[in-house]
Amino acid sequence: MPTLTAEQSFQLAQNYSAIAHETDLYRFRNFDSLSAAERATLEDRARSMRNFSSEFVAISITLDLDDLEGTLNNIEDATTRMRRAIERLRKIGNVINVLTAGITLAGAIIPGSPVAVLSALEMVVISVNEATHDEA
Amino acid sequence: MKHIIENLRALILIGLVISATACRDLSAIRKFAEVATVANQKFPALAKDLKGSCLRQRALQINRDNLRTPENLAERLAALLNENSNGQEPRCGLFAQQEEPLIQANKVLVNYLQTMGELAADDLTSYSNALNGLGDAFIGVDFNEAEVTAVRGLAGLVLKAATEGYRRKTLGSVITKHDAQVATLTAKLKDIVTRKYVLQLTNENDELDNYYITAIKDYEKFASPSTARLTTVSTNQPLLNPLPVVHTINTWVDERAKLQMKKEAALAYGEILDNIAKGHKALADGGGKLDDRKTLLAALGYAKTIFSLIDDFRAAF
Repeated sequence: MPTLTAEQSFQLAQNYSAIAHETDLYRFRNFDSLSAAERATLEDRARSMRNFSSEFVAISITLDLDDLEGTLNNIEDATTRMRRAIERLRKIGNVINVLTAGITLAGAIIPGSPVAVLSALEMVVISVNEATHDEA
Repeated sequence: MKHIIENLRALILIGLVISATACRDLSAIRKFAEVATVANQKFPALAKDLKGSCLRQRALQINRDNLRTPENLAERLAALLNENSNGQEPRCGLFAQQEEPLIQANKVLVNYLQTMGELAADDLTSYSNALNGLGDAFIGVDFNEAEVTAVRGLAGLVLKAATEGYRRKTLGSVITKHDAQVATLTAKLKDIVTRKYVLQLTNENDELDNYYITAIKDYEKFASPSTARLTTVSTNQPLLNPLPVVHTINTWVDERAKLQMKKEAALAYGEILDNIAKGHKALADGGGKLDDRKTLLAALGYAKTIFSLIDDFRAAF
């Protein structure tokens, strides 16, 4: 027997649910003219149809989730890539901290040389640019 | 001093060039990601209600059966999660098995959106502490306070612009490359929630109707002979004591309203997923260029729509 698709399974679920609903309506409309045994039989049949409908809903969801496996892996990879970028930016933050400390030191050691401080600052900018564009 | 001014000019120039191309605010993406994440975090309650609905459906059936053959109650309760049913019991175990995978599938989307928001967050490239230290570099140097502040500010601007360029490039390429996958995942989750979960709620609702309508009709038959002495004037038909029916109808209506609220919440969640996909697509359609004002406004617009739907969803979960 061919395997059901998620959509086919859902269609069955809808059909079984509709039949159960119609069976209930018929029983309610004809409640007084039906015998107790007939009412019980119809109620049982409607219940079975509804239970099968619920079962087909569950099967359909199972098949949906199976179909999604590749997509989920792909999105997880994208999330990992963004996490790596975040880590990299955090590391760049640390690098800037170290370089800035170096500039502070240079400024303290070479008083009266603001040109050297500014040059060092430019170096920080260049380093950051190189680091950030390296992987992007 | 001339050199200082030249270097300051150079720094200003670098700052302006970089900021002109890369400094547009990414907060629209962050807001979009944040609000979408908040909405999705409530999903597990809905996923668990698939099994919950099935069990409530079964409980109604057990109550009905119990009226007919009360001696089999223990056996019926034991079969609640039975997976080898012949249709007499719904196989709620099947829903139970899918609960965790479904929650995990949604979590993949939540993690993705959350990380997207983190990468777009302003605080990620805040180097204020390090830049504050720069002030000390000018101790004993011929810089006045205003000049030190200017250099510090420009350095901050340049560093932010440089790192934002990286953030934008990474975000842009991830969003563009994975837009189809996000569309597939949101569409599938939407389908499960708005069609499949809603159909299960419809089955539960029909079982509820069956339970109450049959009970009321059976009560009419049960009560008729005993109240035959009370008859209506016009038709000479037996008059029933209305109080049990009134109370039963109130309970029935309340339970129906709860189910209706869940259906509406499911549809609201479907719209949320739709807006996540549309917002993501708007960002992807910009070709990864996340500095386009129109694109960012579109993302912000979807974020606002999602925000307005959250309350509808939370009302039931």
